[in-house]
Amino acid sequence: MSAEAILVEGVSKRFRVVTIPKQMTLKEAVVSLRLIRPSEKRERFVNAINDVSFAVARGTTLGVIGRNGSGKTTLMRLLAGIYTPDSGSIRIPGEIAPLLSLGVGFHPDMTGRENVKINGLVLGMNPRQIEARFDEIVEFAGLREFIDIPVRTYSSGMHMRLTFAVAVSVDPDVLLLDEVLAVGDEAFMIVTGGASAGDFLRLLGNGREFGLKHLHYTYQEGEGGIAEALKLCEHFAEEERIVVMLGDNIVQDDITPYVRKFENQNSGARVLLKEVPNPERFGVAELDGDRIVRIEEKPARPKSSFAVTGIYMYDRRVFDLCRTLQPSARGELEITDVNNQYISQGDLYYDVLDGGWSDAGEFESLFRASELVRAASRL
Amino acid sequence: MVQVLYRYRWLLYELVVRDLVLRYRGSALGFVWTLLNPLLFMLVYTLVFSVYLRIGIAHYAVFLIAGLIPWQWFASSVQAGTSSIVDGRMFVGKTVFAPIILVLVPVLSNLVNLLLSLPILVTIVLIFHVPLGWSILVLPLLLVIQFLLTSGVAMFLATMNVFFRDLQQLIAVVLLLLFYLTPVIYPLSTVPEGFRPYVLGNPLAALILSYQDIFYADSFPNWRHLLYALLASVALFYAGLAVFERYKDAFADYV
Repeated sequence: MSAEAILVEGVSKRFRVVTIPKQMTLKEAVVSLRLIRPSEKRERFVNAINDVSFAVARGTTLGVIGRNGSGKTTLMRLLAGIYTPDSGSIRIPGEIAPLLSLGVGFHPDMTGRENVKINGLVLGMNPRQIEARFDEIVEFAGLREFIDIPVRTYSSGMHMRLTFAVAVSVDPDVLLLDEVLAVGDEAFMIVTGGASAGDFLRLLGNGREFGLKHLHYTYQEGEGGIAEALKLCEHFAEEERIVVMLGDNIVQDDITPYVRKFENQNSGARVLLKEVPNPERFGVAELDGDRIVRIEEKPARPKSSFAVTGIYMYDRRVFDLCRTLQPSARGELEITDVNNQYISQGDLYYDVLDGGWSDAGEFESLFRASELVRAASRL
Repeated sequence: MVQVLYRYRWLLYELVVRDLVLRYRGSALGFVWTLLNPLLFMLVYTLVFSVYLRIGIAHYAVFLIAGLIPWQWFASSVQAGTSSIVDGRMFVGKTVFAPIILVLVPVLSNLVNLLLSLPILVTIVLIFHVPLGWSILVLPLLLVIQFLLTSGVAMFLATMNVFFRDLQQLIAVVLLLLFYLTPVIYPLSTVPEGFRPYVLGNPLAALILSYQDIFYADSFPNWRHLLYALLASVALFYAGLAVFERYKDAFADYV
């Protein structure tokens, strides 16, 4: 085995560009017995890649940066073997997975399951590998309930996630990624108040370190409650759904799969639950099937051991609900009241968190949260 | 080519399945259409040629369907094969891929259709009490020859169609003309002696005659016809493949 995963030597590629100024009418075509006016057919050549050489060592990553039209995609396609170079040579000894465009071979009338099969084969997996990774792909895409219906019924987001999920399940020697995969442009809004505002700013900065492109801040005056803080996000949500996470909540899991499920849910809200040994300290959910039928705050006799965590997902109605809220006994707009509104409409769904979770509002829970972080950071 | 086919065998398999599934998904009769199609043609042609025109051959329905089923394999495959590369632009140029797969998909899916309609053919043969003998053992050989012929023609036309899209429109007309020039609806004996060499110059005609020999005439195919069909089909297959291989790298630039 050579040390280089990719070896490119003196590669050039040029394209023929033909401009046909104006379509002929049928009459003109018949009269002149031609389809294209010969004098007006213009042909020129564009050098997309000119004498490029480089090597990529095993176990390393090479990023190619350039302006639009500078030949990045052409280079990718040459590496993938889709184009053949006009001159020079490309040597890639291993298996290549070119993820240059997602969902190659997807057919709208076929079900998600059928399309995953074909797309996986196109990407170079064999049927056994696809079979083995199928559940993982579907789970990653968050489309378990929708995998056996035609993909033409999918929303563009669902479509995107499924194609992406198949693409990332390939395990090749050389992985070629084009810009199509630049997804995950997430927008965040931080609502903070009092003295802790500076802490958030210090921690998150401009968000670049966390891969966040758009980070918004707003300041909450006084102690108006979580639902009041949520109201401050209305202009940010722009009539879209919103995921709310309380700042003192620590979650071990990636919450993406739960958010995916929420996206696939037609309307309503979704909260994340966690089984706890001391439910009487929390808001406790009473469950019925996939819905929550009641949330009791710090009940003496809990109906279940599932605590409602500080991660809430709401559809756009949430802001209308917030406006109707009355302050509670402690003078705040309570998020529990928002959730109860959804419950009364039979529209509050839930998922149970697998990994560790803790809030950090009290000494006891703060200690547990610290333990969680300590354990995770030691792994 | 064999290596390519081996490497992409599963994709080829899935695409053939998809082709068959999609054709009938959403239609009430589904797969029954595969059987109904030649039967309806058989009824109409039998009415026209056996009742109206009185072509005067016994068991015309059997004669007709023996040639019609292989013809449909050829015609449907060539029609779909011609546009296969252009229609497959979602594959070509988007990923590493052997475009030959796209051409072979319609040839194979229509072969499956042919195999599925064989029971109908045999049933009709039996209904009319036409004897069916050992010559049926030659059938696999006929299928191999026709596969080579069909895919050779399809590869050639698919390549041409990338550069001249008019072919896609033209091919329907050409196939219709070829249908009448091939002895499917009339026996070779009705063709004047002087024209027969021209008719038999068409390797597909030699093949169709062989199918009719097996299922209608209860005789082994004329070995000279068969040898000619074999040689011509192998030649056309390699010619089609050569043209395809010569230009396939340019497909991505043009589709």
